[in-house]
Amino acid sequence: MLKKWKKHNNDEKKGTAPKRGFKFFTLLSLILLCISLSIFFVLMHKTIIYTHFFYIPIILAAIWYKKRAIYIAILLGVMHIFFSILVTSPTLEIFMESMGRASMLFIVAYAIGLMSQRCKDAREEMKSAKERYHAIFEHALTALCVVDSDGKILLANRQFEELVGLQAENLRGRHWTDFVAEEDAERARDYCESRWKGGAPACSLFKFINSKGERKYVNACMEPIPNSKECIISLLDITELKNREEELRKTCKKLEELDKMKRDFLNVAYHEMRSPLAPIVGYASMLEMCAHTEKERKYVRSIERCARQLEKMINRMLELARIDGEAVKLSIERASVRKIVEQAVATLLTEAREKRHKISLSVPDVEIECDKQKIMEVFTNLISNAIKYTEEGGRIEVVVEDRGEDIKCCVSDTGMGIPKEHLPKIFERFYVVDTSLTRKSGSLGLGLSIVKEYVRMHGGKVWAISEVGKGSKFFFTLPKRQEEEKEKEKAKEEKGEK
Amino acid sequence: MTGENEMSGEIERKMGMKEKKEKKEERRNGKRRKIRVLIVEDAAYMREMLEEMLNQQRDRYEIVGFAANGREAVEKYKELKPDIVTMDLVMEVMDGIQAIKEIKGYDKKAKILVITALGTPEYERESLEAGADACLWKPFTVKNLFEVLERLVSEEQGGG
Repeated sequence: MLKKWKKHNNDEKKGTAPKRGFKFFTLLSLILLCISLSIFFVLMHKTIIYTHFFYIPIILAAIWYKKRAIYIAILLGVMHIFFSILVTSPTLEIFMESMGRASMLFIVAYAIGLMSQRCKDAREEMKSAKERYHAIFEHALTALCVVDSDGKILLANRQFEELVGLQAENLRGRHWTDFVAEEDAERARDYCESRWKGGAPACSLFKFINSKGERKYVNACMEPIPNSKECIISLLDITELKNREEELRKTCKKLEELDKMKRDFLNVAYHEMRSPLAPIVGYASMLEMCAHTEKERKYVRSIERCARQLEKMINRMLELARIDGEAVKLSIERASVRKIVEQAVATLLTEAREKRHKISLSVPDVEIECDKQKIMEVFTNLISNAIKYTEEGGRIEVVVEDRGEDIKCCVSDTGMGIPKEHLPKIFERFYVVDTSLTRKSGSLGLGLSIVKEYVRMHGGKVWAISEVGKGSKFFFTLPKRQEEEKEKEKAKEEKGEK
Repeated sequence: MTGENEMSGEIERKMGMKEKKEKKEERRNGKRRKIRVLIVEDAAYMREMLEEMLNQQRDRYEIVGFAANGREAVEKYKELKPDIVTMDLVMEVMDGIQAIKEIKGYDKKAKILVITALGTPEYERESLEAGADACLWKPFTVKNLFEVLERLVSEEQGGG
């Protein structure tokens, strides 16, 4: 087929220009011969049977010049009528007969001309279709080849030649799987077999080794050509993509290692940061016991309070690192939300009293499945923020709404509020609304991240609305039941059934 | 195996009787027996602080020794037989978890209080699984320390 293709191209290049002159002179001489013969017959034998000779140039003209043969038919027909009138006495019969013969000439010329024209059109159409498909085949961005039932290459495009690094003539008779790397060779053979049978996924990834010994990754697609014993194979060179994927994978691995290194470092760092706090808090607590004056007690308490604050920050950083490392697990139990809120508020009463805040609670007596400590931490964080960011004498409200499947909690304050542009980011790690030197100190931007993570771990959502100068409202939802508990119950039920 | 169990049961019974006798004697003498504490800590400043704290209740607690690593702790335990061991977790030579296992392997009744700055639930679980009786996270106040020590003592007495 490859050979055929080349031959066909060569024929086209040579063209039919020299033949044109030959046809014209042949036809011209045939017509002249016919005319001389007719003159001869008319003058010598006074007959018009010679018209049968006219078919020869007309048929030839119809084949070569298609419908244009009709002009020759007209010329010869008119001549025939003219001679028949000239030779014999012009009777109606003779006139009709000569007219009939002339018409036959037209009909033959027209019919053969038309047929010939149709044939030519069809040939041209086929040629142009062939050219079109050849252009598509040759200029496709994918390497393509046509193989026979044995997998031998019959035809290949330029991309294929480039991919394997061989010219078309060197490809003839070779098997396409010859270029598949050894480790993939068997898989490639299996793939071919199953594709012939119509099975296997259409595409498969193989390693290729070209004539220069370069390794390439190709995505091969083998498709049998209908009604033939040939197959078309397209090979997409994805080496570059693969290399990038490999690079990305390496980067990912490196990042994972770095992340692990960070976590390990943080774990060590937290231990080392917390250790020196022990004597600070320990000795302060001892000093407090033996302090003589109220002033001394006040100083010592201050040391202890600050150390505790530092401890809290360190703990939060550690907790987030643990959440990232998926080390935090929930210990689910049934707990009363009202009790959790009351306990959280109790730990913050001193702070609230110091700032003369009014805290009101509206919590229904509802039980949910949750990690009590973590949900208490969520409430403590939100209420503590409300206390911190509200001017003295503010109002803080904790409202819990029982919604059947879940509960919706809201902690609202009458504080300074959060500018709109910061709202979507406040739950992000390390995000602090105010980083200026005039900011309210004592925040690392970790509290709300922990709130978000704890609520997320429970399968709830957290969000906030706020108006600068008027206050903020922090909402979160918690499902009443946890999946794990549900599963346990299911298992129990199943056991019971058995 | 049965023989061994019987033997150890007998020893335990004898030891229990001995302890009861001691307690009775103490009561008779009109004073409480001091609780003997072994302090296991790699940081000198922490050892010092624990000593200072326990010295606040000299008549109740008696420090019988110090160990700076797990190996030393096991040896000192065997030598001194303290009532309570305060155990750090991060230490050279042998870590606290291993030391707890070895001490518990030697004496099931040993009371071990883990005092560490590794304040995560995982370490708490690991310590308790190894056999520790209670955990105290650094930093802590003198009040925290005595609370947890008293709890351990009452558990021991209740158990005894």
